[in-house]
Amino acid sequence: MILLHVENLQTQFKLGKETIRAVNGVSFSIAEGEILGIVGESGCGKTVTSLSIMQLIEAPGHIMGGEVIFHDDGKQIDLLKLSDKELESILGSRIAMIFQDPKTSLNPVLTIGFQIAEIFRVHRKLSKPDARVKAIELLTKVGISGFRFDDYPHEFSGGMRQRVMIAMAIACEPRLLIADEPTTALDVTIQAQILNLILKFKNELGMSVIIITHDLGVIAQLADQVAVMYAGKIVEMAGVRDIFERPQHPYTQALVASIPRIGFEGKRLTTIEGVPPRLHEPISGCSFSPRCRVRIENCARETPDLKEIFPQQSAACFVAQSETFSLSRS
Amino acid sequence: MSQAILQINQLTKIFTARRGFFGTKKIENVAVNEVSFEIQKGETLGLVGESGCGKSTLGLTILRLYEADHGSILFDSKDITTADAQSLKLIRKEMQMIFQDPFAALDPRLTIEQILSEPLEIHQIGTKTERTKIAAELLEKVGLASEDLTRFPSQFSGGQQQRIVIARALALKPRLIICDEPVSSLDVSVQAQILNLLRDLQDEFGLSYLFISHNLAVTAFMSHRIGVMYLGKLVEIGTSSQITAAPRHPYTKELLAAMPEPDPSKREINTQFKGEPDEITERPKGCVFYKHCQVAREKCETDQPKLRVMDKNSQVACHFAD
Repeated sequence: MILLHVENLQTQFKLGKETIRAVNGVSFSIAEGEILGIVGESGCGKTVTSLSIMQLIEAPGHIMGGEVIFHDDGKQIDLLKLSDKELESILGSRIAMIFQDPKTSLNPVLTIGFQIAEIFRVHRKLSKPDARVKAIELLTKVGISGFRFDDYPHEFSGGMRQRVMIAMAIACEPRLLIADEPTTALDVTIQAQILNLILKFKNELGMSVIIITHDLGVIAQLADQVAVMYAGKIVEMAGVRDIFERPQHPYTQALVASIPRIGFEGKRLTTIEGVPPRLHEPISGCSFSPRCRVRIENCARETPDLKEIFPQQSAACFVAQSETFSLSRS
Repeated sequence: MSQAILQINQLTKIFTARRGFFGTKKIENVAVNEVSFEIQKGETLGLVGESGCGKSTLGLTILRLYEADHGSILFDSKDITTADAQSLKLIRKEMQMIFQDPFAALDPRLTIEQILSEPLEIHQIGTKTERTKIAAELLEKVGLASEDLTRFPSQFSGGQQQRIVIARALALKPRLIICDEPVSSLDVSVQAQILNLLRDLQDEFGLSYLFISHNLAVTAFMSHRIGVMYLGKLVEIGTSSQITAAPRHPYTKELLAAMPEPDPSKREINTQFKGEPDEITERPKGCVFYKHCQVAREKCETDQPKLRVMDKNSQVACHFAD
């Protein structure tokens, strides 16, 4: 069962005369109970994609086109066509989001208890005492003592604040949780705790999760499906094992090969020469072709679409799509 | 004659904060707590640990950017712990540093040529034309073009900026470079370029590195030996392969287990580690890891374990490690 379908999403930022095509025709689906990982390097558009789904794009950014279809109780809702009022009833309760920096997402002058209880008062219309009881219950669930209800965000460490954010996100038992680099600011032992917490609630509530990260380790540990983004587009989409074991797009291949791994000590790391393109001008052809080692003539002229290479594994690459390439690799 | 380029003995750095009404209460924060190790010529020693474990403070103390409160620093068998400004200037020629954020480390108003010749000017090396020539050579060494000399830092990407920082560190032909999280702000493909570059430069110039990072996989890739720090203490030190394949200290084990491995066939994020790493607020009586340790016994609360030699390449500070 599909929970969310994004079709040809286009988000641009207009800066003076320049137009930055941050998300340039992104399409994907996420099934119920599935974890989709979106991975890519800075500036590839992974965060803008998630903010576009949540309609959190502010000027000078604009969603120029596309559809974001949310399947909720048998209804199909295009989030991009809803009024602010209608959106309010979905965001935060049916779809929730947690961000990289929990410090900037919490209000510093309100106690965390108040901020969690507020969700129950707004979305569930609970009375103040009832909301308090619910909030304390929730705090305990994410591993924070209820005694800390009246503490302010600055009295918590980064990992604890991220726990508070998770509590707020799952307060209304959403169908979809979008986690944008949820552990990037955290130490590795705390990261492990937070990732496990997300997994625990995913299983308990049966929700779907979109996890956005630059860390292929996090992807390998958590995701079922993976979308690899480069320069505003998805260049490869596949199950997590296929991404790591037989990546098809040259960018995915290089990305997987460039991570230092334990036991790799003597070897050299694969690198990708050059830098990602600026997104100010329209790019002709494949955006990765200037850095690509296997490019052919066609790559600079035409833009490849995502096409299935193996069942459930698609890549936007002419070379990968041509049979000879697959044969020479096997 | 020792082959060690750097030797530190019982190095300790304490920060004091005043708390309470009118600052009457003094709090001692032992950021680096009696740390000893040595780095051989041409060797990379990695230093890993989580935020607040004192690894960066240790790097800065070795460079004498902080004054040590206790212990000694020997550079090339010379004690530099209390060296005066004059001799420090000479020593700093041989000991350079690379920081995490290249943009913050480069003056935005200077051209790349000015940035690279500045250290040469300070040490009165060469004429102006010679310095320009050296700057151009340095740029090419780190994979940039001599045409880039007239450009400004903001015209480069993060990875290129880090290359410029590395070129500047090389300008004075140092023998030891302290790399403090040199790739933490970079994307993974660019990170790989910088790590390869650092290794090539080490081979070419016979450099020694102190490689400080929170990322165990990156550190293992770069280092011959690794030291693990927790709350200001060096809790384990050994070869990279020993630390990653057969860690002895319970904290090193936690660190390894918590690392998300980029391999979907090995799915287990371990969360033995309960709660948060502590903050250093007072001198710990017993083992620094006591509160979080899975195998802690009574002795650990009261007796501080010293680093013990386990075999030729391995030392661990734990009463019960074997």
